[in-house]
Amino acid sequence: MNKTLLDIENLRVYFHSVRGEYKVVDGVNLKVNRNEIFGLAGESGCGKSTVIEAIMRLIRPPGYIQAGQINFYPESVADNTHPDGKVRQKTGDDTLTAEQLANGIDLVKINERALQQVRWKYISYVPQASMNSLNPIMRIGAQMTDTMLVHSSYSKIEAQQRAAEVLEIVGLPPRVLWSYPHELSGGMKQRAIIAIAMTLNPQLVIADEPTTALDVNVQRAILEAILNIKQESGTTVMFVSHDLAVHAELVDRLAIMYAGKIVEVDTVHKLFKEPLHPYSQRLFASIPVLGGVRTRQESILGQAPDRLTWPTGCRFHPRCPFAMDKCKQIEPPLVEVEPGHQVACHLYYDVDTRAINLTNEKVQNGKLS
Amino acid sequence: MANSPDHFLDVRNVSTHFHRRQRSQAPVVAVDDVSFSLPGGKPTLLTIVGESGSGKTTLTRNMLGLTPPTSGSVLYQGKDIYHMSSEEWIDYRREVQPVFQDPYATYNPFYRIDRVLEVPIRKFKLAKSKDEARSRMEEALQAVDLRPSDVLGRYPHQLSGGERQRIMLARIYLIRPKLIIADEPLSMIDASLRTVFLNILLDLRDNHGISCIHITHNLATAYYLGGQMMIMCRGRVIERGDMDTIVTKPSHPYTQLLIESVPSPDPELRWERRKQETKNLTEISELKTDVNACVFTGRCPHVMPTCHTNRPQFIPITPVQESACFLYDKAVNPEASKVAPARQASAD
Repeated sequence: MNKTLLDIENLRVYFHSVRGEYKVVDGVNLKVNRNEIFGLAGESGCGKSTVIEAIMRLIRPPGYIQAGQINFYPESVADNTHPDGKVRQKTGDDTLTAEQLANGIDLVKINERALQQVRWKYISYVPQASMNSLNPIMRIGAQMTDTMLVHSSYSKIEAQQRAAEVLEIVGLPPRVLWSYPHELSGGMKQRAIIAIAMTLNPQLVIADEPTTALDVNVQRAILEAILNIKQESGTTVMFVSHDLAVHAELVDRLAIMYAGKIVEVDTVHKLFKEPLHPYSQRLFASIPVLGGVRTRQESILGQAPDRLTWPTGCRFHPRCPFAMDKCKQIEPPLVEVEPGHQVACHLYYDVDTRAINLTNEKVQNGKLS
Repeated sequence: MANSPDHFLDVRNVSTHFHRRQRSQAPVVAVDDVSFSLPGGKPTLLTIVGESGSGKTTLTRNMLGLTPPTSGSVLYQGKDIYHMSSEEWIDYRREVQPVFQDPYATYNPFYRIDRVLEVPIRKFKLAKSKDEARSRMEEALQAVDLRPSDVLGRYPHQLSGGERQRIMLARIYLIRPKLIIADEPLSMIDASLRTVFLNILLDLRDNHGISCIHITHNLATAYYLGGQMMIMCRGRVIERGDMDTIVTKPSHPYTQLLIESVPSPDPELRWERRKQETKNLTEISELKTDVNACVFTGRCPHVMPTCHTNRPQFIPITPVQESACFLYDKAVNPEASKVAPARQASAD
């Protein structure tokens, strides 16, 4: 069995505008493994949410996927969403065949009909500020069963049973099924949305900033619900947040994104201990620690680059304290410098000689801690 | 924190109730008998922390003169702000400046940004000539890390949330008030810009002697500022005192839960590996409006019979920290002296 569940290659998402082409996501490479919580972090405007929208194929004009592949390798071919094991899918020429599923699907290429099959059943999505996406005049239970009735072969009664089940996983009492959204607090609504995403037992759940703007207590309950989902049903979770402390609590592997590109990927434990990319170093150094020594922090120098005209070479070079001449001209590739640790920086990888140098003195000396 | 006339802001037993649509139902108690004061003379930073629904914003509106409290009073330099003469009221509005939560809602979309800065100059006669007004505006914008050429002449929709909040601070810098009341100023700003905003607040305190009341639910950003702190829960203040002491040694069970729930930026110290006893406490219990009970009884792990029938009063824990909890009351809990405030796990 392939270890990779989702393999994004050279994804580029551009947006047309009168001023030119906005290259919001510009060459992203990512691999998400099965049964892990994969974190995606970066400052706002770096393209985190656009990557997620591209995976769900939700990019709308003027945006478009300019290039790239998003290969998704689902685990089993059988309709695993129905308890009795019978397959009751509508069949047609466009539906996904067993072969396709086994060899992986390129989410960029498949048509709308096939997408309908993939969405919710294989990949579900918890969008940003999603507590506001509940229908205010429908009971939570009805909204949950709706999804199931459209995307699976559940009967109405089975759907209701499943709805109660997933509510329990996210830590909500069954009475929520009969509640209207206005009767729930923000955190409960957010958990209800996560429950809806879980109803069809998808293989990948993508959560985009699910806890932003919520209280710490509520945030904790939601993060614990996500952890519970991963442990109980073996679901892979892709978790997007700008809050590194949240990533530290939750995720297994973490990718740092800057200016439409991935600059560093590693397990969360290693990345927090020794980030290599100068941007990551600055990012980790700027996390406020509760109860720690209070020091005045300065923000990363300079403004975030303009998405219309990215800097040449390495996109971080105008703000980088270690910038060399090479950084202004050559774009550093994302290279695996240690097993499992990828970084895109000239300090660690010489593009000409292909030599990896992990003990770069300049960085050691200038390291911010 | 005794009340005396030399306190320049004095909040006395403020309670605010909101009626429900059916008058037969008990009113919602948003703020419940809150008292505190800011000393005159030295600029102070007070942070009010609480979860949503704890009455932070209502208390802010009480202090700003926007929502009159049901009972109690807000005194500014000894005068009740709801019973001021119009001259005093203008002074109050000049000397106490707000920063609101949503930078997208505070601007009139039809006016250019310049107007936000021009109006106070005109109203409070801060400049003699047009040129002076312009140079003052530019100085204020530079003080908050904005390039005047980037923002002047633009409309609110052309600016980001962080830029808008900083323009509010530029306006405050221009007016030089005595007190800033900032209600969740950071909730809509990007993480990388938060420190910029907080540094400006610190500068205004240190270099210009401006006090600040900062209302937030985010303990991490609150901690960055330091100073005094009050923890609110269900409309009441349940712990108050020096921020460093409260954060490292929270005494009230609610504060302990709150601080325990802050995600730690260290993957080696996850919740699952920390104490398990706080589990299930994150569930929010139903709103309680019982005046004669502790507000935290529904979730408190140390709940005692008295907690349901009596309202806890403030008990000093350390010289710089007070807590409204019966655990520390010797008359109720004979082992009070043995109950040591729990140390935060990640601080060890």
